[in-house]
Amino acid sequence: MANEQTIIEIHHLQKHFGQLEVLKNIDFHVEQGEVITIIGSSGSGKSTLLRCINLLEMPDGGEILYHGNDILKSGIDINAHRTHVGMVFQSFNLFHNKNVLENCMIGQIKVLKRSKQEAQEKALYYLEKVGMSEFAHAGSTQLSGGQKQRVAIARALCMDPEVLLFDEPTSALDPEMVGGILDVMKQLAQEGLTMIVVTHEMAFAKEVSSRVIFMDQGIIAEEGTPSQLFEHPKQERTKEFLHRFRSAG
Amino acid sequence: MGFLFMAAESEGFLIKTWDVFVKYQSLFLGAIRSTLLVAFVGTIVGLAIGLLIGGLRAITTNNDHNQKLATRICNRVIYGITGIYVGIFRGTPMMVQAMFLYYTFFAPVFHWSPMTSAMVIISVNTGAYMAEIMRSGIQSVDNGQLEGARSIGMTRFQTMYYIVLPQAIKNSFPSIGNEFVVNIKDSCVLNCIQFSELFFVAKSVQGSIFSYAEPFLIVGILYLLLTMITSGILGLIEKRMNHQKSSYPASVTTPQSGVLKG
Repeated sequence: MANEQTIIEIHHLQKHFGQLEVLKNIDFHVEQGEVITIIGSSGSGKSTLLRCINLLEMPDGGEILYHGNDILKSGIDINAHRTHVGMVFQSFNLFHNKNVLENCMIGQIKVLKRSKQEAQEKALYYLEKVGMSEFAHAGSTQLSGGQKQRVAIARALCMDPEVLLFDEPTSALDPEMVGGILDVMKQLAQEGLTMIVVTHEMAFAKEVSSRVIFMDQGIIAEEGTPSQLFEHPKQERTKEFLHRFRSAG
Repeated sequence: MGFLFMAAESEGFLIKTWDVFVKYQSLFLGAIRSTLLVAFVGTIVGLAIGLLIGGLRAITTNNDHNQKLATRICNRVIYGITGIYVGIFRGTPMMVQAMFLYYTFFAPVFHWSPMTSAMVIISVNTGAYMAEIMRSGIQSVDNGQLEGARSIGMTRFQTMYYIVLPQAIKNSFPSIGNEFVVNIKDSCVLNCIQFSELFFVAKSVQGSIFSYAEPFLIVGILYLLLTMITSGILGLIEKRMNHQKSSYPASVTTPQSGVLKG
């Protein structure tokens, strides 16, 4: 049974694209303050699962409970839900027609109805936090990949989300930019932010996460603490995946 | 010898043309004004129509499997109806459309003047082209922009209004400007409903002086001047748009990696 600290519970989640079953009967839950990393090979359904949590993909079956309320029921305000569950994308998705500061303010003003003053203070606070305050008035298309991702994280944090989802946040970055972004994420984890991270950065998963989920062919094949999963994997396919990863990396 | 004769002849012709222009200058200048007015109004109103219709077509064109059946049917209907509008007004000459409006079905109802009719026709006609320009402009905006907006809880309308449309308009600005230039020229077909733009005035002058060459050389030059000046201004605006918000060069510094303050 879920306790008071449970933020998200997922039961029997299913999703298919045409004939292709991407998620088969997924069950999992997220507690307050947890950092969950989801690993697995391409096409295993990791990103789809993440995108179902803030309803960028609509599941075809099952339920997603947010503080006990099923967000798949009609009559649920999806946009309000999305403000509680932030998202950081692989491709940053900063608004090209807005500068850095405006990227961080528009959601606060238009969705959360904050005053301009309040929104700006909050935006500058988080931009400072991710080391981008001196770029506040730069155009969002002029930044490097690592800089864009910092701004994207600040933009998500400005909405005061309860959970932050990261969809392969470092996969589109130059290798020398990856470390900086991971450090920002580590810091957020240490500050107690609840995070779900889809990643191929095994070192990050080992070091930062409280729980690791290994997905394979649309199901959760194995889950456990980093030491359980990385040192003593039980499933054959987990071993195989980790082995392939080691030899590749 | 023949060449010299022609040169002398043409010099005489040019002087005569200038005389015609001076004599009828108030007519020509008035026609420039009405041509520009109708082209401008048509482009602006057409853009508004295009934003609405093109926006609707862009929203309803994607077959999102996340949508309910009722929504999908509704989308099909809207897409179909707007498609009929675009099809009819792009698929028939503006001259024919003008004749329909001014002389047949609508004439007894509205009693519009040639000027009003001209503005309505050119707006509705341009709207059909703008709808397709805006539809493709909207569809050219990266899907990630939509997802970024939806992920911070913006509604479909807010996403469209604050994120997608500004980018779509910027991306399609050259095509939008081109419609203005085309309207300056194509408004000439509205002479068929007695609208006194440049072509109409050239015909009137030709009727008074019993000569084609001078008045049509004059309007030819005037059209060319108008379109060249307009293209120049549009080019400047476009340059401006691409240079906005460039307060920082991309490579000032990379922020100190991983240092989180606060």
